Amino acid sequence: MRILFVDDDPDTRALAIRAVTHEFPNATIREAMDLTSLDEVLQERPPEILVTDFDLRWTDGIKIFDRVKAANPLCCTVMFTGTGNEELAVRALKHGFDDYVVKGSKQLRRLAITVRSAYERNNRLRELGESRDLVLKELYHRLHNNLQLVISLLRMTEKTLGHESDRQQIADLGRRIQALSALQEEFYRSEDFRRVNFSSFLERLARNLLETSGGRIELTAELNLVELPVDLAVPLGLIANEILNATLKHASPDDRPGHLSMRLEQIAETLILRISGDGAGSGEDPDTAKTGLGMRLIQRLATQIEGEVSLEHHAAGAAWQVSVPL
Amino acid sequence: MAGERSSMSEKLRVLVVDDEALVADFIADLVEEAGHEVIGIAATREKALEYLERSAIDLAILDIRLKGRLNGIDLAQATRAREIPHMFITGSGDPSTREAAEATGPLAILQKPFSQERLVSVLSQMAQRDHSLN
Repeated sequence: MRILFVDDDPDTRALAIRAVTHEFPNATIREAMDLTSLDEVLQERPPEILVTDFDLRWTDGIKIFDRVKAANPLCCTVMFTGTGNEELAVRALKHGFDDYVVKGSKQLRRLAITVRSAYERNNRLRELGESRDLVLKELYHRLHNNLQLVISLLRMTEKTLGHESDRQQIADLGRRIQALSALQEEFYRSEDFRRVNFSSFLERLARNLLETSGGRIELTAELNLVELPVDLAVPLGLIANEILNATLKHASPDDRPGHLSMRLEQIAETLILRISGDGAGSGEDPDTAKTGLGMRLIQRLATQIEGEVSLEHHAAGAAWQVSVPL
Repeated sequence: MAGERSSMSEKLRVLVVDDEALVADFIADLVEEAGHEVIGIAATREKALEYLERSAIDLAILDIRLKGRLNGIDLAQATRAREIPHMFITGSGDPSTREAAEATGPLAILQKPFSQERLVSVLSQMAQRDHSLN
């Protein structure tokens, strides 16, 4: 156990050290009286517990906190100060101090108990965090393996089907599952699980789908980083998947090079996603578009997020626009 | 034997290692449909090592976690020692596992559920490279 004490007054330091080592008899004690001695301690081996005053001639307790936490983010921190007022206590706790004790002759025992309980609380939280990470990793692994199993089962089913159109339906279903999985991966990466980097997802999705074109289709992506909450990202992600698939299916006929462009931006309170393909015939055939499963999914999911979808066919291809209120 | 490339042909001899039987079969199917040969399917590290010892292999496709352990990384080191290229197909998204996997120098790391096209594209890049080497 390594404990660092920072206080300008040597007597206070000595008393605080005596009180705290009573709780941690085997601790290695370090003291800092100025920036040089602080940096020496931090470079040598950062402390596991910090006890610091707020008012120091050479800096203040908040800056000490920042330096120590930069060296050891898991360090337990307690402010021990004579300039005790509620405002400072709130400021210290808001800044991240684990606890706060006002100096006084009868407060030394309290300091020792506070440091002990803050340290134990910190450890419990860390253990909880570690086991949460472990569960999360396991769940992620299981989820992705199971999704892979679903896709493998679909593939086995696909091989038993005689009609090309039936096989195509199964392949489309596989791509939908793949899109959901790509979204899942973004959630995992975000470490938030409530919001997702939608630009990163779109880019990943498009690049995965473009592999099918064997490099014939060029992608232009202008994606302004937009983080979306999960309840918007999932339906919008599935809509984007349907549009990209429809666009790619008909882009680049006869092996001619095609072009796919994606643009995502937020204008005021509206998110706008534009996807267009310039291969001849790009986009779904207008006659089947209204009844096809892809279009039905797009429309149904758009209703869910109160979005609007428009599709324009033109000589060079098709342009889609999805607008969603944020 | 292991490490020697099939000459005059771009057909790769591939070892598939995955402890999930249906996923292993799925990967093997894709490899064969892409015109390559599946030398064997192994569900454990030991079985995979047997194949590496016994057979001439051009590419090993490895899962990272076999029966709950990170054996795929060991296997990657074994393939490297025999100068056999490898790639990973994994369900793990854990950054430290990924780092360990990348350190073995794989041709690619595909995240499960992987894109079939991406696997086919890695295979064809490797086959073309081998063909031009021969």
